[in-house]
Amino acid sequence: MGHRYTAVLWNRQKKIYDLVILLAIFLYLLLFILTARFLSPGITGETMVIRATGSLALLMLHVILSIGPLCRLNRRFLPLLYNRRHLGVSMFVIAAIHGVFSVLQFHSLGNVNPLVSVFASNQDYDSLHNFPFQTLGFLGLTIFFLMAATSHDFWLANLGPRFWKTLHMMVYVAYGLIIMHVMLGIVQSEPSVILVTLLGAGFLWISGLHLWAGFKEAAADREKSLDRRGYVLVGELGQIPENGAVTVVVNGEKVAVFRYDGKLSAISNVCKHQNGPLGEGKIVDGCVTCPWHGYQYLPHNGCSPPPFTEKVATYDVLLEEEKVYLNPKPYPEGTTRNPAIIRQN
Amino acid sequence: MRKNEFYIGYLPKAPGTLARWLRGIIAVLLALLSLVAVFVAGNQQPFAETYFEYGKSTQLKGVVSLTPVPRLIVKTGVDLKGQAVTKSILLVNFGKSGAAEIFHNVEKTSGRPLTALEFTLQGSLIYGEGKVVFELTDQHASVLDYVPLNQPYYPVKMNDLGEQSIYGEIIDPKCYFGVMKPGFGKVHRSCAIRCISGGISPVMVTKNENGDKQFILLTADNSATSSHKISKLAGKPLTINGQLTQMDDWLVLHYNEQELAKIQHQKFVAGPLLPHQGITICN
Repeated sequence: MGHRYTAVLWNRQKKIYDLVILLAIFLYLLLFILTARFLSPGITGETMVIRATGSLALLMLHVILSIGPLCRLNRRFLPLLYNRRHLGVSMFVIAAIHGVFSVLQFHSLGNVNPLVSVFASNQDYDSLHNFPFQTLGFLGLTIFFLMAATSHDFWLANLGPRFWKTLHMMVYVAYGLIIMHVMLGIVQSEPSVILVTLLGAGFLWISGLHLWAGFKEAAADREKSLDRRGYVLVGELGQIPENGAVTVVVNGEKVAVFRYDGKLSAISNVCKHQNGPLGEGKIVDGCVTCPWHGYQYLPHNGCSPPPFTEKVATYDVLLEEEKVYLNPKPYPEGTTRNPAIIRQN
Repeated sequence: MRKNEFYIGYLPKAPGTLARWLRGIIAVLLALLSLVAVFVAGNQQPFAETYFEYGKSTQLKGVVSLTPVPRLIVKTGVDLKGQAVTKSILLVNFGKSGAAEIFHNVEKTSGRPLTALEFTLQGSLIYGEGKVVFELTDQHASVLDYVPLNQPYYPVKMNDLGEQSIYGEIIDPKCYFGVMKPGFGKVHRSCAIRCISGGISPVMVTKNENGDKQFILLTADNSATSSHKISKLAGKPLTINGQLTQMDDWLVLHYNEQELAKIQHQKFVAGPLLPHQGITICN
């Protein structure tokens, strides 16, 4: 392990975020229990826990999966992304309560190991109607566990952003498994218009949001052709906001061109922390600041200010008659490049 | 969010207009979450009026028989002819296991047939839909006492109802009659498989056209092997043929190995797990 573990830094925003998560969990469980007690008086405590936590975890999963595309569509949602990992870990804890109670309820105190029983009791793997749906939930929960266990920046640093991101993209596999777990389990057992509608609406919401954000991004990500000098036209100077950036795709990589203090600099758009979009960030205290978690880089050399050590690739920028051009050749991460100077008229 | 506003999570405060907007979003999310909680909790199928007296200890006296399944035969009164009226209470062990082993031990220790003894048992009652199951919560220690019977064992009326073909769902009686809700269907299937393969006697639940339920104990020549095989069929609608008998307040269907092989090759159709066809027998 090349990186040391440091405890989570609890700042005010994180505390507020976590308090809202706790309040939401408490509110949901309280309302579920009160409603079930009032409308379904025969329900047992175990069934109550299994259903309340199962439905809450599924709802939280929908919120978690919505945050990414919502931020792509509207930057005002970015604060929800800042502490999304705490929301993910909280969802795992709720899902784990559901899973542990289900395994204890349906598989413990029998003649085989409970975990073996999950996979071996119902063996109708060749039938959709009779499929052992609990196995799907178990696999989904295993993915959530891996994600929760590696959610700390310690693992991000040790596994590397690419591997870490790939691992955490498994959330979509887990989502598919959980949807099938619910469809082949409770929905099949207790067909209810409300349940099917809620589940269908949730699935359409998640897939629709991702498609919408994807199309929007794809339209903006069209690669531009090179001019005779081998440069790419980024656009008019006036299109770049002060202390902000525009992005351009070159050689399949996104590059952010920043305007600040009468200068223009270009760096890779991909933050070293979690691949956040630096081009959607802002220059704060002279540093490019990632909109996701506030990681910072100096615009002229792509280096994080000391004591931080992250580095991104830099590019040459050219300004000609109010037109901004970019040389698509990246320089090694952390290479100082002279900014293009904006002449004041 | 104003154009120059930019959120940085580690700074103490979020920009003003963004913070106000976020409060609105959080309020909408909490309202949505509350609605889902109420809708999901309020739209569950009704739960059966069955009960498990968990943590409450009860003592029962009666004669234990392991045929066709472990049960405590208790005398509930006499009929007009002065003959004993009895009720069979199914006996189950703690957890997902049957009670037979406990009484095999007693039989060995006492040197007498079980039906020549009167037992005092302690455990927890499970009951509903007219049936009673008794969990021997403390396992072997649940047998508090047994004494030789002064009077002969009160005979149980057996009434042969002939060959019958019955459509229904195999359940484990411990969960169905109160330990779990719901104690049937696909969600409960794995648990029923564990319970039946652990030695709890399988029961078939069937409904007639009026929606009246009948509970039928399933027995076979070699109960131990057949229980394991038939456990795999729990929680599915199926048809089973066998010899039907009325035994005090229970129906018993005795099937043979060939029948079991036929059931295992049945095509299980999608549909409601509780059937709309079945038998109607007047008690």
